Amino acid sequence: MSNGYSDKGTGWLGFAAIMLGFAGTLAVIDGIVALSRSSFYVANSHFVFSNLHTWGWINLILGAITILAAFGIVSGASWARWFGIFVAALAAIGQFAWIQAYPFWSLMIFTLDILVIYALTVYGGKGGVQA
Amino acid sequence: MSNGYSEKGTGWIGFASIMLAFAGTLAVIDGIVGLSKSSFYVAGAHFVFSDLRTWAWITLILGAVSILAAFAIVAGAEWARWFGIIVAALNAIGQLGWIQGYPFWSLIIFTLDILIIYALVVYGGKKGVAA
Repeated sequence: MSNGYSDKGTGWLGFAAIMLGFAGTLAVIDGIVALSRSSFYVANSHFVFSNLHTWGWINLILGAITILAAFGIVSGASWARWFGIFVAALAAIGQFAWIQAYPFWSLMIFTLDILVIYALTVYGGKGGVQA
Repeated sequence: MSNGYSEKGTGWIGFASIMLAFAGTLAVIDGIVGLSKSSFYVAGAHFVFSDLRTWAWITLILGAVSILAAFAIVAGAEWARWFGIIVAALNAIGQLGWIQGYPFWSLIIFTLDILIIYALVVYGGKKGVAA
């Protein structure tokens, strides 16, 4: 993906891959902070189920899978499009569920996930990122 | 819809159906949490009418109908476009009605509903998702 973005949409796919990697990194940071420094989060917030520790792990793992999906898209695998959509949707639901712990972080990651779903749905059929 | 997104707009229809199913899932989660874990919501919140329980049921049912509408759009049904627009609008109004219960969740689902209405209004006439 060095240059030659002639076809419209291939740029969006590259953006989707970068955003997947980026949102995944944010989710991993989010998860690690929840596990190691819970005071960062809103005290006594309520969760859909379980507690901050559980949600920290869930989002840490979802973030790691998201980063893997980003590599899948860059490599041009045809399954990576649907895998990316699926993972981004799961990550967004994960953020939705513990939004009370730190609303702004969750909102940011959620928004990026929606952008990724947009890019992969609308431009995902163009045969991967152009070389 | 594996590839060949030649015509502009078919991707947006795919995005609309995924977002309908996604916003529907969020609304179902929202409703279930409203019924099973009311402490998640703002204590002493006021609603347009009735109480948290009623609104949770309304949201749960609207979410389920949204998911059905998503399948109808993927199936390419002619009526699905308008059905999707009406369901998304109802869902958005529903979220408006109980926004005080949990503002961030309502705002997120509301925003997704507006995106869905945009996609279906602007690109809905293109005969469904491209094969």
